[in-house]
Amino acid sequence: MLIFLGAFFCVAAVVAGTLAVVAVRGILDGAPERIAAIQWHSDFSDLLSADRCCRHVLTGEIDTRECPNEFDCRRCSEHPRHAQYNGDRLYHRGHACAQWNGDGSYNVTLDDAARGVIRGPLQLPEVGSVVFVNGTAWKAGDLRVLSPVTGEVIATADGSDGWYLRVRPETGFRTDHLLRGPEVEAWERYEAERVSRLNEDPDAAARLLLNA
Amino acid sequence: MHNRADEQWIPRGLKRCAFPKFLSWLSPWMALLAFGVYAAYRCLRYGLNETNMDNRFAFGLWIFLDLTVIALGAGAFFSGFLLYLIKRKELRAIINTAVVVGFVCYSGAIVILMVDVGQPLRAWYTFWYPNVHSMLTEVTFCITCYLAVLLIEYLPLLMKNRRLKQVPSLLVFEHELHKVMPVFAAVGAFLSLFHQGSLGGLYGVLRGRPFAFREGLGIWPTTFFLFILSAIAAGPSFLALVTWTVERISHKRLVTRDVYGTLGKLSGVLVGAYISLKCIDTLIWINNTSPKFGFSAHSFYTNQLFGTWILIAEIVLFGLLPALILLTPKLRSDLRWMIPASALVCCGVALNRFVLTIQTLASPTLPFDEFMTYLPSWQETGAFLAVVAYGVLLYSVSFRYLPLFPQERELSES
Repeated sequence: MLIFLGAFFCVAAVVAGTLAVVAVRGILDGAPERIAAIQWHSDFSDLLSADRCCRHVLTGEIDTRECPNEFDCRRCSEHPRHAQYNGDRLYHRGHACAQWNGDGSYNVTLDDAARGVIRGPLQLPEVGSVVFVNGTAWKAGDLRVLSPVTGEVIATADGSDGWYLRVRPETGFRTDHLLRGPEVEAWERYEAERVSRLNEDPDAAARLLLNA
Repeated sequence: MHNRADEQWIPRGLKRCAFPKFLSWLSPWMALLAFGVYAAYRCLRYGLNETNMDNRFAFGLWIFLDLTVIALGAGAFFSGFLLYLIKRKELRAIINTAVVVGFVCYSGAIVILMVDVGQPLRAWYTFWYPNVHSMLTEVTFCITCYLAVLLIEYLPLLMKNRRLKQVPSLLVFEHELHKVMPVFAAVGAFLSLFHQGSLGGLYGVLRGRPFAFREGLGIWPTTFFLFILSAIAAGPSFLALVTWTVERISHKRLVTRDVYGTLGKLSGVLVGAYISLKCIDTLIWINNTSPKFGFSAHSFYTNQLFGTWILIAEIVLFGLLPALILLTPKLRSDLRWMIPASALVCCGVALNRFVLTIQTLASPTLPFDEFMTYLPSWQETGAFLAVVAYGVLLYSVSFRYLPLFPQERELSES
């Protein structure tokens, strides 16, 4: 009887213990930066394999490669081996872009493709809050616009001046993960081709571009 | 308007039929479920005299259903074991559907068992006053624990729903739960091996029923091992069958052809092994076990309905034939062969459980005994059909709103 019941109590203990570990980890994951990372991980895994292609495939430098780093070239060992470009506008693969102001801040806005199709009331973050790379920068209706940079929001606007957020990046912030120069044109061509399959449905296009 | 709201719950990039059409698909199953729930209510309210079971046929349609769905649901633990512990990555394509199928099978089995046993308010007695000498106690403990494990495995899938994963706390929970899935896969395999075995074992230890009694290794009769092997052989076949059926009904490609090939090969190897051991076991029973009890094995096959054809069908038609098809690469790569072979494997397991449940009890064991027959009452049949309807409903809703087949989107885009 002892062996029989002992075996089941062991099983129950393993199950309960594992759930407790999950609960503790879940609580530790409650930090906004961690939640943003998990949301991005989930969104990225939802992409079709063709849409996960490496930026260097878009420019024709390599034939085929699926990004294993969730588009974060800062931790990619391959990225430094390929051509590096310059550009004043830096594009996130979620169609937000960042422009350096020269005063220690970035203006964050949408690229032309996204601006043409995204509608809905804006929900901007509060000034003083922090946004994270791949986390929610702001919302347009029920769509999340992903942030290209990590840093403190120092100003917000409605986009009429060409920007939505002004963000002071965190110390040592690197922008290697953002597209620039000739990469942008190649990528936008690729995205335009994806959108063209949607029969001019702006809502579907917006969802496609923002990976919603 | 309804359609628009409904679309927000459908996984991104997947196409599903319009909501009214979906409702019209669900309606007959809901009606069947309602009928079955009424039948089950009558059994619980007025007792087992609503059924055609009696002192001789203490096991009937419901136990046959339990044994069959538990065997068919083995695909959940077996594919989880192969994916998370043996790292057979190709099974990722069907692991979600395996979990849903497993959950449907086990929850359905437990519900029908509660109707069969009766007094559901005293269900906890099983755990508080366990008869540790009974294999059924082990089975009850195992399937209850395993249902809890299946529920835990189903939760991350539920949280992958497009709307639910917008809730950060659910997303984080799903993410963390997913990381520990190998632990649950291991626990599930441990529990499943024991209860699948014990379900077979409880027939093998019936000394008073020489048709079922088997000798074995230590305390475990051979039926213990045969039940495990037949369940893990039928599990992949049933998954292939479910996937193919859903493909037909939804007019979509859900998995690549090589996934069917993998399932077919797994099933083929295991059915081959099972049927070889079953043949050896049957020969030992015919020549040794049964005569030792004073019965010629042939005497069990002289009764109406249960002729020797049933043994031949079980071994040849539902065993050797599908094993040969599934073990032949050219045939199993062709769905016109592979799917019927999978159906034969599933039918074989169902027939095996039917024979052990019904023929065992129908066959006379004493000189003054007569061959008894049993036909389930409408209440038993209704409760049985309720489980089928419940399975179809839960699977249909899961298929519509959850990403059951990770390859579906890629396949539809291509």
